[in-house]
Amino acid sequence: MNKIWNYIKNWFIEMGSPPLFFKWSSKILPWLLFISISVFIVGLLWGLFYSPTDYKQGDVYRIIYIHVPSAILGQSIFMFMAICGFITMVWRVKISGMLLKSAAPIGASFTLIALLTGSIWGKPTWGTWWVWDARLTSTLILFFIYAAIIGLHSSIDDKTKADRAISIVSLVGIAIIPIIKKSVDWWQTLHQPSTFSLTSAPSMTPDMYQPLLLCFLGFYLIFALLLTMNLRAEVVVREKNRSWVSKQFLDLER
Amino acid sequence: MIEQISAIINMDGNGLYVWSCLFILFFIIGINFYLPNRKLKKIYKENKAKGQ
Repeated sequence: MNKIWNYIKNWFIEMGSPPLFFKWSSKILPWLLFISISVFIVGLLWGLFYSPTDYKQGDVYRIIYIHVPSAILGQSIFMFMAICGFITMVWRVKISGMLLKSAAPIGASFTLIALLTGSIWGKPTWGTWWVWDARLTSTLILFFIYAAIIGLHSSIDDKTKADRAISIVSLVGIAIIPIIKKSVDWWQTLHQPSTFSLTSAPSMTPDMYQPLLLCFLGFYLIFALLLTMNLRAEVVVREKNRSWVSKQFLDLER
Repeated sequence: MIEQISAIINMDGNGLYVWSCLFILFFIIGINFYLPNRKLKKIYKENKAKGQ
């Protein structure tokens, strides 16, 4: 047990070093690309083509396989960013600031997908593209917080200071997550209650629920892939004048 | 076969909603794939020019 713990600890320490991270990620990236895209595609195909039609909504309910994983991922990424922000502020780990910066555009993208697909789903089911409902509005605020983080980071030249600034925003902005989660309970909303709950059984049948779980896994793996790609680019941009970057490119050429 | 395909595309008259959601998903994820690669290529070119 102690050996495993020491191995994990050493791995985390090694990943804190940009050259070691770049080298390690070069090895892992092709595997991650293959696994994530496979799970993502299989999950979507299962949900869109092989799951049964909903008796109430018909086939339009299939948007759930895109909308729900995107929405939950958008919130999870923000929680991940707040943890990175905490590490950046307390331990000043260089790579955690880069992680935070790299995760922000991915989180914004998935929140935008959730907003757009939710709006499209709203048209045939609610009869409108948009309502200023608590769940929709709080998710829109989350998207604006992501946009503010991206904008703030690019407006500060000193990247260490920029990392600290967005760490503070992500630590303060985390307050939006419980508001989004509880918005359907606290206020009367047009939005349906949460699809997932840790305390109760799912309201969907297993043949609808299982592809949704696979979609979740696929979306999280796609996030891991995009984060690795973004972080590699960020590391290289910040360390472009270091000798290890030229050496890595030379190795890639060979 | 053709009927099956057209039923999948049509999705009970909801095809436009479902397929546009899928298009949005792939389009936005596609941008996320493209941008870091573009950044890396730019630095790679700069590095190569510096080395020559």
